[in-house]
Amino acid sequence: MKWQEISVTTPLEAGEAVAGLFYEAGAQGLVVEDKDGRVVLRGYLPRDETLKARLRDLQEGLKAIGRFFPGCRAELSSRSLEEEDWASAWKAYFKPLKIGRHLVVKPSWEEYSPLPGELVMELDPGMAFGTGTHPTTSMALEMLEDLIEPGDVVYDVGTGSGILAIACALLGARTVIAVDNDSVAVRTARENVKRNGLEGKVKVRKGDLLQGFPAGAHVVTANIVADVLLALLPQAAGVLLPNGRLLLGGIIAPRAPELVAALGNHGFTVTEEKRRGDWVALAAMKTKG
Amino acid sequence: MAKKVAAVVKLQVPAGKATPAPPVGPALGQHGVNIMAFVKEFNERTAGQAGLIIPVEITIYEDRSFTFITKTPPAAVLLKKALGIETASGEPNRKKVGKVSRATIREIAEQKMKDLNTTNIEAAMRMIEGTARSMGIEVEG
Repeated sequence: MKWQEISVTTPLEAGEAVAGLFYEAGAQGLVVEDKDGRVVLRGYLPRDETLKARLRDLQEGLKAIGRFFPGCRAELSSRSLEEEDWASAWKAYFKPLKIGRHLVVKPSWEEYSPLPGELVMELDPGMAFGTGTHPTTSMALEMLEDLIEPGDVVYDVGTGSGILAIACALLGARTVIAVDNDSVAVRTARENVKRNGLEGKVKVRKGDLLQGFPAGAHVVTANIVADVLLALLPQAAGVLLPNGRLLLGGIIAPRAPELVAALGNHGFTVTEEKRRGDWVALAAMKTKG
Repeated sequence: MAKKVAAVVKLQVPAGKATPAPPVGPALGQHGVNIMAFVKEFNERTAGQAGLIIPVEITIYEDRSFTFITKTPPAAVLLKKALGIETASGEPNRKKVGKVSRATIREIAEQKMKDLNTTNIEAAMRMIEGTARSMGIEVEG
């Protein structure tokens, strides 16, 4: 089907009325953009034999708008739009992505033959954050390659898409418990764990940071934001075994010194600091307490 | 997780009936958003409001993940629902399709306030009244 894209720019107060005109003309939805104190409404009508009449009605309606909203003028522009496969065109943005020495993130629709030593994670982008394209995620994944030891028990806080939890399991962790306070993330992470066949190793639960987690973790990972990480530190110190390892990601660079100091106060020694763009990731070991 | 916003897209979409066709497809596709994931989630969340148009604000992050919030239906849609009419007048000045009370206008204005960028109930009511008149609905009182 071919579409006609119709854009109408109007003062804010007439926006609702113009939206009404679009729906009367048969639009199945609108794009709304704020622009310099005005609003641009963009509607789509099929380019068929009814288009002319629909456009005429819309234009008549717009002409009359000034009567109901004194001083308001609406400007209309229109262009034709070819049908596209919108349902899959966005996929062009995602290709298999190699991170660090071993890990590869691959969308489900892409074919990929792993090289020897490569560990492939299958992850589709969706509502939950974390597909490896963001520097905070890629840095965390790279650091995990050195941090995880076979047989580890790992807690992953703020799991999002589940990407770090899945990586930990692939890198040899025995058990990973992933937690997020957002139900959409919990659902997405569970789907991704299943997609990678790791249900036996990775459990995803909804919760508030590490509340209710038993002590005895070898590793805690958290790729969140500085303020949440600060709140997490005492809990992490509580659940980690002596010499337990902590990976913190998602720290905006100016907040890094604060995190480093707080780590010291909670009995941790920083073992690695990595920076990419505006973001910092920290690895630390629990050396006291 | 540290999320940097890449774009915010505002759409109006029929409740429970989003599809990858315009406006959803072109508006989200250009930002690399998983369109089917949005369509599925939106339809699930709005299934209970079938028949209404739902404004939705989609926040797209740097890694092309997204979240969205839904808002109150457009004033024209609420007016038609309140009056039980199917279509607005094609000639709003000459042909009237119904009457609406000031109380109903106020009710709709209150419902829409948080989405209309105003805290002034009078301004919101003027907007709803104007919308009503442009549809051929007479405002009483």
